[in-house]
Amino acid sequence: MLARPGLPDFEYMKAESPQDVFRLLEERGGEVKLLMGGTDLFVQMRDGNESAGILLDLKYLPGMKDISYTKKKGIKIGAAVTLNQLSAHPDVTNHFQILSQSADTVGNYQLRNRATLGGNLCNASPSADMAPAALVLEGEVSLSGPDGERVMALDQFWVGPGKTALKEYEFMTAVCFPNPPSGAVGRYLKLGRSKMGDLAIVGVAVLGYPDPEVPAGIRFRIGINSTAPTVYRVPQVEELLAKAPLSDDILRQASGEAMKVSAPIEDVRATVLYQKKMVNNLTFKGLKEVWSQLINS
Amino acid sequence: MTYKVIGKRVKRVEDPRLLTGQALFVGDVTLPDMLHAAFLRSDYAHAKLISIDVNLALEVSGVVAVYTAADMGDAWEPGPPLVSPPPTLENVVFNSRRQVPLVKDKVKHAGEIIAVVVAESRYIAEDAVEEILVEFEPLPVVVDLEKCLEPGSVLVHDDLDTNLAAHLVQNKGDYESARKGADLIINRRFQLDRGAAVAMENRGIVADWNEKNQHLTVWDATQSPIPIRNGLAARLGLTQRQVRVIAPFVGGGFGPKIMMFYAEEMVLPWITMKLGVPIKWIEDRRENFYATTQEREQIHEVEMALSKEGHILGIKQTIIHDTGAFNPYGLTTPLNTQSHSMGAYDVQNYSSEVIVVFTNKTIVTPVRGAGRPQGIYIVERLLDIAARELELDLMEIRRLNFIPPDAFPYEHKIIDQAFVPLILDSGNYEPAFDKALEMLGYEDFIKKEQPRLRAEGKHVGIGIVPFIETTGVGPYEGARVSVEPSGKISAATGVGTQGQSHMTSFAQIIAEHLGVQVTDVNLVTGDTAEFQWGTGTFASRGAVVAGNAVNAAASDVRQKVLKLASKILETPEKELELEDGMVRVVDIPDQSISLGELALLANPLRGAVEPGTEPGLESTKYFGPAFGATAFGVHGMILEVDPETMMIKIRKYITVEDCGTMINPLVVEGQIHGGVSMGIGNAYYEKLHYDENGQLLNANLADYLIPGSTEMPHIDVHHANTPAPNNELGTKGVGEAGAIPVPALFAQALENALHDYELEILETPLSPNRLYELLHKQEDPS
Ligand SMILES: Cc1cc2nc3c(=O)[nH]c(=O)nc-3n(C[C@H](O)[C@H](O)[C@H](O)COP(=O)(O)OP(=O)(O)OC[C@H]3O[C@@H](n4cnc5c(N)ncnc54)[C@H](O)[C@@H]3O)c2cc1C
Repeated sequence: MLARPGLPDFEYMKAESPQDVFRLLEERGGEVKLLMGGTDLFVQMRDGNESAGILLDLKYLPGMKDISYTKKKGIKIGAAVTLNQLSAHPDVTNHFQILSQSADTVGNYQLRNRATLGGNLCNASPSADMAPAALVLEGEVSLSGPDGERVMALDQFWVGPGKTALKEYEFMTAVCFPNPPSGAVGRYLKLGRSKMGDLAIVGVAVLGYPDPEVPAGIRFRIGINSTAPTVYRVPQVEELLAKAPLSDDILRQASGEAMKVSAPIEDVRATVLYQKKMVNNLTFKGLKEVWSQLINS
Repeated sequence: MTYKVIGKRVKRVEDPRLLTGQALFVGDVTLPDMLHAAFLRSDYAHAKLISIDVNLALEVSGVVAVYTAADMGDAWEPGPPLVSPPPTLENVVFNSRRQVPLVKDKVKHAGEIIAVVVAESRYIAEDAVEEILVEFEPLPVVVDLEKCLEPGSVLVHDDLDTNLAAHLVQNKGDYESARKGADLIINRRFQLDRGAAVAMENRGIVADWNEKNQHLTVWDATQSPIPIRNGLAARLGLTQRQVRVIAPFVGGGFGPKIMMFYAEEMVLPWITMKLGVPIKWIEDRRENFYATTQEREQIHEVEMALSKEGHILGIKQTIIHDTGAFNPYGLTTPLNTQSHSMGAYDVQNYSSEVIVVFTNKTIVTPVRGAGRPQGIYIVERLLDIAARELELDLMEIRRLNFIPPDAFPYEHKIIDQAFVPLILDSGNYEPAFDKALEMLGYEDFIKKEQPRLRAEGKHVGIGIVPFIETTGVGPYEGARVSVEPSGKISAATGVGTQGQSHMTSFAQIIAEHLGVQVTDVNLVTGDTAEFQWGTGTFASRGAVVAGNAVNAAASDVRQKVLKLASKILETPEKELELEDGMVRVVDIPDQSISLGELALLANPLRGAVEPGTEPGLESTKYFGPAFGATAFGVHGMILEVDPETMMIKIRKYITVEDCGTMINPLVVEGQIHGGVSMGIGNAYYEKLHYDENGQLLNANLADYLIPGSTEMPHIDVHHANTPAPNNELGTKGVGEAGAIPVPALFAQALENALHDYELEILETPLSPNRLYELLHKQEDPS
């Protein structure tokens, strides 16, 4: 098969079983690239940043497109579930609404028909829109390798821009999210230059829930993208918010702390000043919205 | 004049074909034995070319040939000048340096072509490009419009001792004396940056030399097939009849596809003549960002002198215009800026200096608006600033300065882009302006709504900007209209079609004269075998220049029809009417003959054509205006800004458009909608980021953001009508209008919305990021 202009030559193969994957990875190693929706991969290949002799399609492996929910354990989302599915599936919209919200901010509808949750997380882009919500929901990824399955907390999964803790021959099969604490409210705020189709200049996910144990009466989790080598949480800010009764001033102080932690780099899309300020403003806005929703409910 | 078809909202007859994918674009052209070209382009913006080794590329299976400049021999020459420097002015410096087909010794901007591979498929050609080995010696790069003029600057063209591409001064009245009597002098420096046209269809060419009949056919996504045909014939040593250039449907022109004679347009025809097989190349998006022309980068140092009542006494400015690495398009764009910097106003004293510079960046030629948005930006910004300083109403200062209706034709005493005196043919500005205020609810908004919104802490601003657009320039266009025996009408004109609805609006003109259905007219545009005189579709001239040629030809055919019918029906011409494809005797509908029958009779098989007559019911006519028709418009909007993020929401957008007689209001509105979307891009989204090495940092549609449907407001359009006095139809152009006032409008509305900040906007394009920076310059983020 010949590649289109700009794309290198490659072969396409469809994995039927995990063993297919391991075998091929063992035989052809460095030549193989794992494919889901391809919406990141093809762009990278066209730009010459990735080369591949073989694209191995993982979407059709058993269970990869499944969503299963139980009251006890929470939700398990197959890595090949598309973002449009996430945005509409009742188990997601009912119990993990912030995931649907996040999915809706990605690119456009056509794209979301192809783009998958697994692809978004495995691509490890600092600006991945699913990542802040996945972090504050304290997700775990299921990884499958020749030595068996293992589970890893998402905050261990990203190690740098485009880099994950996946070992050689390993791939992601699913993402599990425990049920959020009861009464939790979540909000993902994405700032792009246009309303549709732009990558995040800054994205902030805030999850808040009642917690009588802390002076604030509410606990927040905050996940931020696009302003550091990986998507990150800000534990020190979360602690600060838990410590004292909530007020606009505290939220403002917390947002300022989040801004200090952020470490954006300048590019054609945004300057450092703007990105830092937007971490501040979006964090404040997210906290405020979640807080109001919690006290009103 | 009352029309039956002209002026009606006729649905576009070309749409079914376009919307169902049945229309022909260059990309659809596939010929037997066709080969494909791919280009090796320079990554460097400025570098000496030391050596090229194509041997490995030639070894790639499926590669047919690889060419470099050396292979072209005598056929290698720079592109032709597209327009000459103004002959009517004294002391003009114009250093003409045109783009080359393939780089010979030095690269002058990133994206210039080093070599071309011809192969059995584009895939193979692209792969083989990677196998070409080139040795460059990188040179220091010059990108800055002012630094490039400093002594000792790196030179783009080594055979010139300067980066000055052109210099000219135009004066009207006596600015210095006017300045002495002024109560207020405003001095500002404006920085306007580059954008791309981003047509949906990139460029594309299929060139096919037929050795047996010694004929060259070129399908070219160009706005100007006839000049390309003429140029190719001259360069390739062929007669014009041996060359046919076809511009089929083109997916957006916007200026960069005017008769450029791009390197690829020179190289592909040359290759097909060498190899004797057809060659195809379709530009990809990345190539488009580097190799297709761009516009709008200028620095203005401006001064406006005013009386305390707010009368403009004079304007003085120096414009530095970046033309990129070459200047094939002469002075068109800066001359447009020069002539639009007086806007719709009566300015008696004007002194303006244009300095055009070469830099190591992509070539600059007109992009929808073509220098006009910059001119309007300058004068409208200055009026906003002046009104503030003089504590006058922003709208009042404009009314005060409008050219009054009785002053038309209004002579500006400078020359315009077409090198003819800048004369505004007609206009009636104030009523259109008032209408815009009314549509926007200006008074009410300022007095009631805005105070209420501000009390709520909302930042909602209003803006209204009037503008002129010189349109419909010469030299001329032509058209041929012919009644066929079937009763259908065939017609042809030389201009090309890139979305302007010619198939509909020109058919309406013909239907008006000949009493047929619009769908009975089959119109061909942009095929030199069908019509071989003219220049092309640009400068908002199609409806004016070609439209009036169509009108003249259709009117002439009508006369022929009447003459023949009169003879056959034995009835005086004035008692005949053309209706439903028939010529009828008024009041006696039974006495009639169809156009088809008349066409047969006009082309007799026996006997002789009478002396002094011609066979057929056909006419070819031309129209060439002495000077253009000047359109007018007003755009207004209400804009909400989120001061936390500087993201915007357009709450209301209105336009009043005066393009004279409208052939089809639907088409006019479509042009305005499209223009406004480009204007919004120019104002708030689209900026090409070049770094100091001449590298374009956002050469893709992820980083170079064009506004989408989510950024487009609903647009209310009102039509005013001051017919152009110098053409039969009374039409004025409207193709570029939509884009022209938008950056100035944004600046005004943003300042109004952010009234509680000390904001003075002196640049475009803006972005949320840039606006935030302007407001928070001093803050330290750490
Ligand atoms: C026009 C456009 C707009 C976009 N807009 C956005 C946006 O707004 N926000 C956003 O976050 N992203 C955006 N993206 C990026 C992309 O669409 C998303 O990141 C998407 O979720 C990726 O999913 P995919 O299935 O297409 O991944 P793929 O491209 O198939 O894979 C991505 C990467 O992950 C690896 N991978 C995939 N699956 C696995 C697996 N199971 N195990 C191990 N590795 C794996 C692949 O090898 C590859 O390196 C956009 C992309 C485009 C083209």
